[in-house]
Amino acid sequence: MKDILTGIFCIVFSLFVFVTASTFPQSPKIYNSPAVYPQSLIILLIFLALTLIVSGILQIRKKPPHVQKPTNLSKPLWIFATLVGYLFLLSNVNFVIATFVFLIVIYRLLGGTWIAGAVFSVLLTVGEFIVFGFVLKVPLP
Amino acid sequence: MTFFQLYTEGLPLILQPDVLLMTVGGVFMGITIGALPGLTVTMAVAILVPLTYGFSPLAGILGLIGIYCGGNYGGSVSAILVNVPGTPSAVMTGLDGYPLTLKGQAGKAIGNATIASFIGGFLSVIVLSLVSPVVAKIALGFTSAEFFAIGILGLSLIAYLGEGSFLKGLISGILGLVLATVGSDPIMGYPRFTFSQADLFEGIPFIIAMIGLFGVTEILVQVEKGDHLKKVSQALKNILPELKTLLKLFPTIVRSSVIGVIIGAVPGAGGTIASIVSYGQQKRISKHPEKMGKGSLEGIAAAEAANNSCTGGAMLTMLSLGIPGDAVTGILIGALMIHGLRPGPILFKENFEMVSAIFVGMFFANICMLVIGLAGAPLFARLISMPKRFLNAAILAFAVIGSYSVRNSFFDIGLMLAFGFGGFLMHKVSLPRTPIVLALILGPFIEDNLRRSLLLVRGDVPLFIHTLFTRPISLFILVFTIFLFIFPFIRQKIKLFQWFNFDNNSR
Repeated sequence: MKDILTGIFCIVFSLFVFVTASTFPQSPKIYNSPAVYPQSLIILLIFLALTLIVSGILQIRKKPPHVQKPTNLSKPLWIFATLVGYLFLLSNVNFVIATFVFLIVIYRLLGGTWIAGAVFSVLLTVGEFIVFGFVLKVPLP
Repeated sequence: MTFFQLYTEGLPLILQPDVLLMTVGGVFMGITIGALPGLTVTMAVAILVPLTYGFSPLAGILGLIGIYCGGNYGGSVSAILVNVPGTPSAVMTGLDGYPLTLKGQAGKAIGNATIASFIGGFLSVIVLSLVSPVVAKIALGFTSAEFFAIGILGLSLIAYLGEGSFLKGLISGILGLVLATVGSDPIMGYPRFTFSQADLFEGIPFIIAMIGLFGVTEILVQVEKGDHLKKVSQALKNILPELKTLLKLFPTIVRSSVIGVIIGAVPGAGGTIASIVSYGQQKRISKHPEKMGKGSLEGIAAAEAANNSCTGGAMLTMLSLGIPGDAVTGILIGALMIHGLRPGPILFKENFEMVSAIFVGMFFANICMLVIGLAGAPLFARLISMPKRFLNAAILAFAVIGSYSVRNSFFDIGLMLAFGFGGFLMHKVSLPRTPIVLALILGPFIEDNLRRSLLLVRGDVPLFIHTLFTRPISLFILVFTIFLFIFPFIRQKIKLFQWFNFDNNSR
């Protein structure tokens, strides 16, 4: 089933890219046309996606998909949401506050306690600020 | 250029405090990351590339090479101590290493693995320094047709990165090639797929894609799996191997190193295949094959020497031709470009001092690996038992800071997160991530050379194909590429690897 879904996604993606590339300026010279190369790739991708769909259907016919153990998706999704929140905080408040809040929440999500998380967050935020900002001279948000 | 110039040209550059410090730090970090199952060397190198900006190009590059060398060895520590390979290439080391741990001889196993890794790595740098200038000299005469063929050869790596499915590897690679077309068209300068977003005019920065796909995705996958690590229950003793044992193992180490260098130079083959082939070969010629898989030092030496000598092989194609031998060297190409250096034959011509310094730096990195590996084994053993939440939280923060620092742009953080989440979805549907990154690096190179070649023949496609197949070097490269593309099918059909018979029950 996964293969069929992947194949369908690739075809939808390909159609979108193909249509977008069709709006690029055309040239009679193949090497001058910005659309030819991406469109050639897309044709190849559609062919591969169709192959994947067919092989997925054949696999299901041969062997019906077994019921998979449900996985815990909520944790990775929460972590991703926290990362998005971190991006929002970084662009609206300063680096130190944003990083402290982000680390404490992430640490908790990864199974740590609030107190240990707070200590860890303070140490890492200050450490990052000094090491990256001053020692390595990496620009901080 | 004399033999000694290969090393003396770059020696003064190496003897700078920042270069030495970065190499030592890189090796230490590499061993640590390699020893922690779940944290990959690819991820570490990708995340740490932006943190090298503040250093000189050589210090930055050698820091990353240090991680590469150290990481390849580090995987053996957890394989030996808790039977969980820190890196996939350490899987064969665990076959004999863990039984030795069960016998109370973990120190002996780690000591021998370290020495074998060191000799393998060291020999591979000698081969690298002797062969790569020759390959680069030949490559100087290449035209855009040959470079196009080389780009396609680099893509053949995809055939080996499909995690079991060649088709999915190809799909992922083509997706990467399509993403690589984002930004200004190389000939006309027309902005493609930028949707009026100024940050995309220069294309998708591959370092951003790497951080997302290897850093954020890796953590999301780990959290979903809920990985837990075993505790190391024994103290390490007698780490330093006896000279008599070493002399006995020396032929095995040299033989395995040769296997490792050759396999490492083949795009995509990598340390895992090298250690499997070398282990199988050793089992075939060993006087005591029955002992392998039950705590044989020969097995450890064969696997580790081959695994670590792959680094020199992979660097060979990367430095001389500009195509990656594996995922890490793919990222190293990106890192070199960020520091203003384009790997390939021109690098040897215009920046030989730098190339020589990389050779000497790799020797130094291997010496560091030996010293840190032997002296720090008890520390790495303790690190394996450490809760991973500290590292995971820090990695996520580094991923965000690293993405921002590429162009001081919040857009890049968003792009990195999109790649991270996209990578997680790819993991869910078993679509490999490495081909995307590889294609992002090679895509502009391939398109540029393809269109330049077409320009030379005034758009005459049949003439272009004729040129490709009549120039001897491009013909050779294309035939080799076709072989690499069809090799997975041949391997599947004839079950090549069945000729050595692993006793899986002995693990």
